[in-house]
Amino acid sequence: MQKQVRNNTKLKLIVLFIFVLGLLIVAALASYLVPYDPYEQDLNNALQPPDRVHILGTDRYGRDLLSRVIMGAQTTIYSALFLVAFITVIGTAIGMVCGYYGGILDSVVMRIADIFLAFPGMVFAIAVAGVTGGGILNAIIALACISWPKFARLSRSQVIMMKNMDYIAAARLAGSSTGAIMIRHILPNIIGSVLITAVLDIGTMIMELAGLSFLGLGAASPTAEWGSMMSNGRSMIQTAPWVILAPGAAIFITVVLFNLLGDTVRDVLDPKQKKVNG
Amino acid sequence: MQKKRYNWLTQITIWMAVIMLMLSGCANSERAEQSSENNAVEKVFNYGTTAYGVEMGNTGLNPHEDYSGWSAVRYGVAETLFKFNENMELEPWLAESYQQIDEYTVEIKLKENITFSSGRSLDGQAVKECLEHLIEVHDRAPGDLKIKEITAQGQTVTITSEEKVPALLNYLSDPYGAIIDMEYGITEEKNVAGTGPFIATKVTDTEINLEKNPNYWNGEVKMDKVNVKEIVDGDTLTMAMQSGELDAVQGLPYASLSLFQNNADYKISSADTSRTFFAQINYDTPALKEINVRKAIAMGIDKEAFASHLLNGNGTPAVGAFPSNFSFGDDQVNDLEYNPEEAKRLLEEAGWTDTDGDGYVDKDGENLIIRWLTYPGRQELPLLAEAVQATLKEIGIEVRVNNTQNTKDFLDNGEWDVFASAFVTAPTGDPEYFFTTHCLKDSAKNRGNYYNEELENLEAQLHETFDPTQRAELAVKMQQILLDDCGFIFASHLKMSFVMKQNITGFQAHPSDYYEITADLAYE
Repeated sequence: MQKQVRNNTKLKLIVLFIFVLGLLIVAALASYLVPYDPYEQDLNNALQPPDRVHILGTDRYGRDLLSRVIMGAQTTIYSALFLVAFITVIGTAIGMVCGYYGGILDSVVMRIADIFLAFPGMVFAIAVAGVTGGGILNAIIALACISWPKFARLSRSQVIMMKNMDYIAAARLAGSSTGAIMIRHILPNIIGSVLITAVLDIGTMIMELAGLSFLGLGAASPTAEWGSMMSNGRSMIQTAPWVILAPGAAIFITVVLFNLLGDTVRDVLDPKQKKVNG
Repeated sequence: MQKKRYNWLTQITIWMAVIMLMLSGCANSERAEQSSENNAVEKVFNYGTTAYGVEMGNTGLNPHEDYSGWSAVRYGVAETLFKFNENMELEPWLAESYQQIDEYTVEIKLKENITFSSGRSLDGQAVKECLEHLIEVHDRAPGDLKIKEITAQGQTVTITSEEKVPALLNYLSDPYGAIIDMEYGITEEKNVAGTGPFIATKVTDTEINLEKNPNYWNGEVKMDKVNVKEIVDGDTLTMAMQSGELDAVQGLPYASLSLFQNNADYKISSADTSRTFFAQINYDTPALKEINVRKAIAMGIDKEAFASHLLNGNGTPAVGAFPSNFSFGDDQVNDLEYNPEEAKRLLEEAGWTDTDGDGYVDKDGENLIIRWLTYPGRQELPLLAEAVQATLKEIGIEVRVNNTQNTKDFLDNGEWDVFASAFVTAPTGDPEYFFTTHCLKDSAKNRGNYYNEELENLEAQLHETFDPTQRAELAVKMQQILLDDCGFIFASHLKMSFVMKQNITGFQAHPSDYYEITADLAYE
């Protein structure tokens, strides 16, 4: 019974992984896959409903929505992946150093992290993006500012738990340097939970990036980005709903896929937690 | 495992509930019908507009402050001495007649039996007090009117100006010239006593509540109450109109207008206004000093497609600064037609060709990049920017759009090449205003340092000319100079639209954009 459940989970993981991989490949090869130039305007064909020529219809400038959604996948997904990778690495590094050394450094950095966590995340991100101005890079910076403490705290608590264990003491006695202990002995033991958190975060980050773009604080037009595409189509929700539905559905599907993948990765890597929860 | 599936079900149920909630917004219309039945006793008109508010600089009803006179006149609280007709020609309003004594003096005779809502009757003395306060405190009026002295006797006011002001009566018909009772004064909430069909009972920065003026001089006021509400968001405005919460709206997004067109429940009243969307060229940018480059830009903008497809026909492509209902309007001047091939040729002639094959023309190893500065406050401007970005790309010019509320900083530090903005070019029906504000050497809004000696000379002439026909002729010549220089590119004129419920009468869009709520406003 137990074994079968485990096999099912693995199968689920593989299927989801294939889907996500497909999505990433489509996004990566976007510029080769698009049927039309996503930036080329054709005002005579503006706001065409979905048909055989334009499968998802066209927007108010007559640009093909399918092409823009595919192109937008590149901007949206890779920005989110970059963001998650960035905060995972930075956050984990800070957390490990703090946890391992402790002392004043730990107190100071963790209090800073507390300050960041004390603000409502999205509001803080809007403020940061507002100050730094628009642009997708600034939106990433804004979100990075509010998201790194989560990883720092997670890895710090894990490191504190581990650093007093016998095998670390053994490594230290064997003459390993601090760096080597952290990277070779501690990191492999905490990477699982960090990775789970990271994968679970991708969906959230896609949403938040799209959210900032929707508010006009992320990608600037004419860049194809799902959030700003939705924002631009907002006034047409009654007259030309496909303009907002296409990027909306893309966000929905992508976020669901990444969240399911995150859940499954957790089930596989951390069966203990799953037993407790499930 | 069992529990997990349950979680999934819960999630799906919650999502369904959220979607249902969003869709249920449409159900409000029933409630609205009930409320209009109650209105049978007291006729209330709820009006939503994007044009009132702090951002517009017209909050309150005090005509002597910023643009608040627009609100006083638009919402039927105060009136001016003269008003504009559909052709933007002057007609007496509070005035009975006028007489030009000499080039510096005009005598205005006022109508009898008009009273302010404060009870005071309108006479020469009241007008004198009001205008004297206006030129004492207002920012634009003193410079426009150049009044030296005002004298009053009975129902006559005599105005003497310091220098020749041919357009004096036009300026007096600007909403800042709305006549209010200075004895009543201006209340703390910026309310005033005017002569209009409505009296404000409550004035805030977002809403004005009006009541019928029972003693209105010009006929019975048919509506009992009017509520003017500021609604900035176009979608909110659309939905409030659809739900029946509002009886009429101004400033709907173009994309929403089609919901109300060909719909028996609503009707639309439109008028071409002199609010013009146009681009100013920055002559401090080296590349733009070349006439060929400026011409190429002018030829690379597809005004027709912009007006018909992006504005859904709710705008007219512009030629010059004024719409064609003016005697010095678009029919009298010529601009460069949209012609990408010719534009490319002109660029090539000026040495701009695509040598590195990146799709953009270059010269001395540098691409031709235009920093297009504009702001989001007027919904047409970002659309224009994005349309221009695409059409200029075709002729090899890269346009970088900077769409910001904070245009002033960029204008001040010169980080722009083209500035697209909206401006009411002839608010008083007279052409001189646009040239003095935008096109002369020392004009405040001549941001791109445009200079043409002939234009300066013609303006000096215009300033001395009283005859309207001659003024129109000069204005045509002056516009043609701007267009031949390609120093200004006029994209479109705003067509203002009111959407209202089918049973509303007497609510009409006016080319001046000054008159909205009148005594004629009624339910059928």
